[in-house]
Amino acid sequence: MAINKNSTGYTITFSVVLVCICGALLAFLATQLKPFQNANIANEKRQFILSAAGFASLDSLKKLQKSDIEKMFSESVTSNVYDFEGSPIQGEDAFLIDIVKEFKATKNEPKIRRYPVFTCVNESDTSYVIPMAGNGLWGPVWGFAALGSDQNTITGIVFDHKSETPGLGAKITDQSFVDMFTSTTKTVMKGDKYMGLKVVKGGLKEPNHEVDAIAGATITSNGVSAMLKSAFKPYMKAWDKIK
Amino acid sequence: MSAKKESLFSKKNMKLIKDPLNDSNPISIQVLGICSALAITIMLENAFVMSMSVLFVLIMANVIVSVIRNMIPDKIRIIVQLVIVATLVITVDQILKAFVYEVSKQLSVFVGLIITNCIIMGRLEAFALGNKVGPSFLDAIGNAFGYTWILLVVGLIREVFGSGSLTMFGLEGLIPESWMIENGGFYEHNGLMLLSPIALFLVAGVIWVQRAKNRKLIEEN
Repeated sequence: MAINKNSTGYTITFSVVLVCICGALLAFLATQLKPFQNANIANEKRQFILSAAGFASLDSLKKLQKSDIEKMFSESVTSNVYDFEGSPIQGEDAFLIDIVKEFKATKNEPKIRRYPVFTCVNESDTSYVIPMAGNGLWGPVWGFAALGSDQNTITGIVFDHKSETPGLGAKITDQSFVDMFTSTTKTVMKGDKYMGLKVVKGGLKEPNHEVDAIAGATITSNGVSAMLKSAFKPYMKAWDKIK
Repeated sequence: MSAKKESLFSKKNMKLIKDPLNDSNPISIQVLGICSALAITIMLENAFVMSMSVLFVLIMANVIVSVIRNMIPDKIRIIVQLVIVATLVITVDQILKAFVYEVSKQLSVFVGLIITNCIIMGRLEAFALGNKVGPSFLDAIGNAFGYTWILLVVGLIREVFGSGSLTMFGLEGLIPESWMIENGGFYEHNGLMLLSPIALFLVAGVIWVQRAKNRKLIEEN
């Protein structure tokens, strides 16, 4: 008996079978590839931290093998986690805290957030790298900022984003944007007052605490600005203990 | 099933491979898949990975759709094609993320957008639904390479003149340092090459050259 291809029953059966096959296939693939993808993400995070701490430029770090990055990281970076009051949290691996998820999970409750610090020793220079997270136009933006041994001056910074517009918001990862934070002195404190950093349009009023925004990417720039403004504040209470 | 079996590499079948390279090229003649040709040709390596992704998706989709073409209910055939293409594209995306992470980051959304690449839907609808597996396979190869060669040409020109490198082959600084303006020379990397609009001019250039060489492509009026 020939099957009527255009009957409703056949159509439904066909779609159910097709979707089940495709779904099963994708689920299998996702679980199989997850370890590789996670290794890549961890490797990238190490590259970001090392680059912010000034070991080498991001581009040259990207050319290194994963094992070399891991070795470099384990040799020169130690990490701690602090709570909002600046007391260390024991038994937490700072590296495993996904700052974007952490930020989302504690959106309006900075008091229960965990704050990782990566202490990087590059020859004799010590820098403190802290992760930051915020919202861009289409999705999260995040980054790592390195403060020098005075725990005040920015010595390096990297940004990344999930899905900002290529050519506009995505420019936050460009070297030209990143360089603005280190080409002149940027500090998070003005005397004893916490300033944070800002991304502004129309000229800098506080040249030590502001950088120029990206033209055509207002919302991404605002997101980065909000992230930079608040990122360093919670650490103020912890700095004394880190020294 | 026809009684006498046609060879897979008969003249008629070879035409399926050759035509899309030139006479019915998906980009320059049918003007399909332009979006990705503009967006991801900034470096040769990106163009290559993108082309290979499209090659994989197009071949698999054409073959799968051709195999089940007599089972697909007509009413939902477009959705069925979409489900198959989407599954393949997600597969490619996951594999890229696992093994060439850097490139996958640069291709960003454009891998996902293969789903909406008109070349793929076009070939499925126009060819795979009505032809046997062998010819569909060849048709996919032909069209994918028709897409590939244009992407590679555009990518090559943009990378060499835009940033003076070919990272795919580990070549950097193709332009001698002494030529650069900052060293007293006459040369400067062309910033326009790094922007999408230039790809449109390059594709237009390809179309021009191709039509000048192949007179029968020129329309009457």
